Amino acid sequence: MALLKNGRLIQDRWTTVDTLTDALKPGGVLVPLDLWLAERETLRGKSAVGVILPNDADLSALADDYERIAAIVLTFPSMVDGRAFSQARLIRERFGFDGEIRARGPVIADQYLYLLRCGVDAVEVPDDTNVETWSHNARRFSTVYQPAADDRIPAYRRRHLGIQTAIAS
Amino acid sequence: MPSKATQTTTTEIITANRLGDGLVIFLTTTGWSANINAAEVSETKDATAVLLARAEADAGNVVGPYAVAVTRQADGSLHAQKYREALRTRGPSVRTDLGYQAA
Amino acid sequence: MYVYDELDRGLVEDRVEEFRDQVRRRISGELTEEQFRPLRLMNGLYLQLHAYMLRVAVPYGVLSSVQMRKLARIARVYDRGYGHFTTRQNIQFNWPKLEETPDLLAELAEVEMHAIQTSGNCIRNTTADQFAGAAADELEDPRIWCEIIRQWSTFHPEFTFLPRKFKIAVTGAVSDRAAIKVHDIGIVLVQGETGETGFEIWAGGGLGRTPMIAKKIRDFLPAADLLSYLEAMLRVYNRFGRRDNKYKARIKILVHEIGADTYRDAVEAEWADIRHGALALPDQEIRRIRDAFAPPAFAALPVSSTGFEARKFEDRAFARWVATNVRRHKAPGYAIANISLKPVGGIPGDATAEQMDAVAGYADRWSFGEIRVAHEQNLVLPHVRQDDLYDLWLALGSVELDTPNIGTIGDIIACPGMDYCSLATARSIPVAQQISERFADLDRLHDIGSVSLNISGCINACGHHHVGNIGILGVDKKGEEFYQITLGGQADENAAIGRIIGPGFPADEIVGAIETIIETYLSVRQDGEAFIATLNRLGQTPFKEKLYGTA
Repeated sequence: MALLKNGRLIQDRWTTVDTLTDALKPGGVLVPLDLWLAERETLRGKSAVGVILPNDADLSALADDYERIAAIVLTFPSMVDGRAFSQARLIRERFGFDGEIRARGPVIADQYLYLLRCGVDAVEVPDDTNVETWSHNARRFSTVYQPAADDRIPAYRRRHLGIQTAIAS
Repeated sequence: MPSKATQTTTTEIITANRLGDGLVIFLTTTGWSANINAAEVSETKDATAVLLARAEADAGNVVGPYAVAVTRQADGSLHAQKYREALRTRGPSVRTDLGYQAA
Repeated sequence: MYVYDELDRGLVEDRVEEFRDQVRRRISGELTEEQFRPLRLMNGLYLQLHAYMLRVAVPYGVLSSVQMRKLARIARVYDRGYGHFTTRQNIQFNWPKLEETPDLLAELAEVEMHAIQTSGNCIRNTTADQFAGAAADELEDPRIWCEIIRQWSTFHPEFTFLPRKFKIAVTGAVSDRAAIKVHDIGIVLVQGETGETGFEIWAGGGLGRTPMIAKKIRDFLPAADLLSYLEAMLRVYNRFGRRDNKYKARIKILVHEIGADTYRDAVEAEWADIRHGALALPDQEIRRIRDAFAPPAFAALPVSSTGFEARKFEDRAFARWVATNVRRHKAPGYAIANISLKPVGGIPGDATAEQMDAVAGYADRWSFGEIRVAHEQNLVLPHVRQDDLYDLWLALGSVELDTPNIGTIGDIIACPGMDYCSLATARSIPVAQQISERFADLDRLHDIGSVSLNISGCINACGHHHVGNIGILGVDKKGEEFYQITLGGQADENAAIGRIIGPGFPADEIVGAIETIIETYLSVRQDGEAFIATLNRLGQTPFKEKLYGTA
């Protein structure tokens, strides 16, 4: 798997581990939520730790941790299970998390815009992914109708900014 | 019940919808046909599985292949046993000017 | 009517190109059917029994004559010369080719139409009272708020992969013609203590295999808070709605399982956090959309027209059509004209391209170019001068659209059933055709009076059988079509789920059974008592006895 981030395919430097011993080895690690909750005092000492969240996780369990976590992995068991879209927005907008939020699971290019708008900034994708398809989908829509975790201005505000034509062109 | 003279064997064929236009098609020995009578017939569950695998391998051209039970009539024609499948070979019962029945 | 600005237009055009690209990738093999299916469904493209089916959105049931003409053209060029108006105020075409749908959608975009979110597990077309902006009993035009919801829900990044489909309905009138209590969210416009606009919010209604009446979630929501509150309601549903079983994934199951109070508490807690955020609509935007729905330039007319009254007196057939198909308008001298798409022996909701063109012409001539689609699968010309009704009626007759049966047993709601639908377990349309033929005699039809009869061809209940005064559900019983009858359903402000009266009937006995029910009603009703009132007064017993005997 590769990582799609900022419009480029990059090598994923993070390793997914599921024991404390492996987690404490050098390098960035992604650990399951349960391991984090059980060992967080120990893991907090390490700088590069990310947490893998099941899509039904209680986000407030991490309320005191968001500042210390370097990355959060959101889980998509299938492309149509959209719970993690809500999680992404809450983590960004309510808990103010500014580290990497990555999507893990069989999401496709057609969902990229939604992922980005909800605050996901990295997607685990197959190595042979056509980046152009993804990037194109991210830019496809000239208008958005609602605010989300990104900085796009919804139509109902743009219309009254007085610079509508400038933005649309 | 049909009389013994008309009832022969009970068996299966494979149907799907064509990707491009969505119309109903049937798996034949060489490809697909809109005519149920051209369908390749399987007499056993194993043979049906083989046909289904062949149909599924053509997922680039067809959608949702599945097996349908048919009865071969005395004249050699094939009739779907379930009413739903019989409708698929004809068209809407309330618009006989549409679908294969109109041809 | 709402008219697109550059932003709206750009978005729909972008969508056409997106779908064109998705179709290309599917045909080239870049997308598997498993990946493509949810994408095409989110654009209203199903694969049905015989072919693809495209459902085009008619936002809150409002069509201009220009749009109607485009639908007629689509029917002619891309389909087989007809379309089917649905219980969600949309229109379906039954024979489009996948390869041609991008061009079809590009043509729709020219007239500000699309198929966005007409299927899939997302927020569907918001529906409304078909008499919005015309009804005499209306507090405020619900279309303003429907349009606001339409925009907010379109390509909502968080709510496009919900546990299941999501339907919102809005009414602004005393009589609920939008069936809001059988929707995932039902919204009723109400006035606050100081006369300001607000909303009563209901949630968790729905039909399908577990029919439920919605629970009231909030007595009064200030207008400015509409979107933040909806966002909170959807977020709770998206996070906590069931995804383990598609038949338990609608919000009604969540509300039922955790209870309306727990659901409300979760929504209110979520809302408290976002209420004062970016979702508060600017006043200018509310004003802009409100202005778009300003009433047309009605002439100053007397309350009633002597010419119209004289016509009714002279022509009994016209008077009969007026009695069933015309409703009171809020503007003096005007009327609401319902166009029945239920000709005797016809297919409920179907209209030919020629009929669509004709209705577009009548709308231009007599109704300010406006047309509505009713969830009962009929059309409406919302603003007709009483003086013009006679000419309209004659014109409708020339294209077989003058059936005087709105609200009667001939005005049957029916899903497409097994004749078209890949999910159906029995046919619906032939049953509707036979019932309308059995009750074709107009004197008898009008003597029977107001009764709703709804037919579904499977348990998914697209024909709303649960909320018909008489409901018919088609099932498969060992390879035979069988029909169960429910009695007592209502879709209005007194919404109720009908109850099964007894064992079902085979196809050749169902029409006779319906006739027995109606004859029983006629024999026991009191003066002026509608079918549902008689049923509610006496219960099912007299009907059961006549259907199944007393033993």
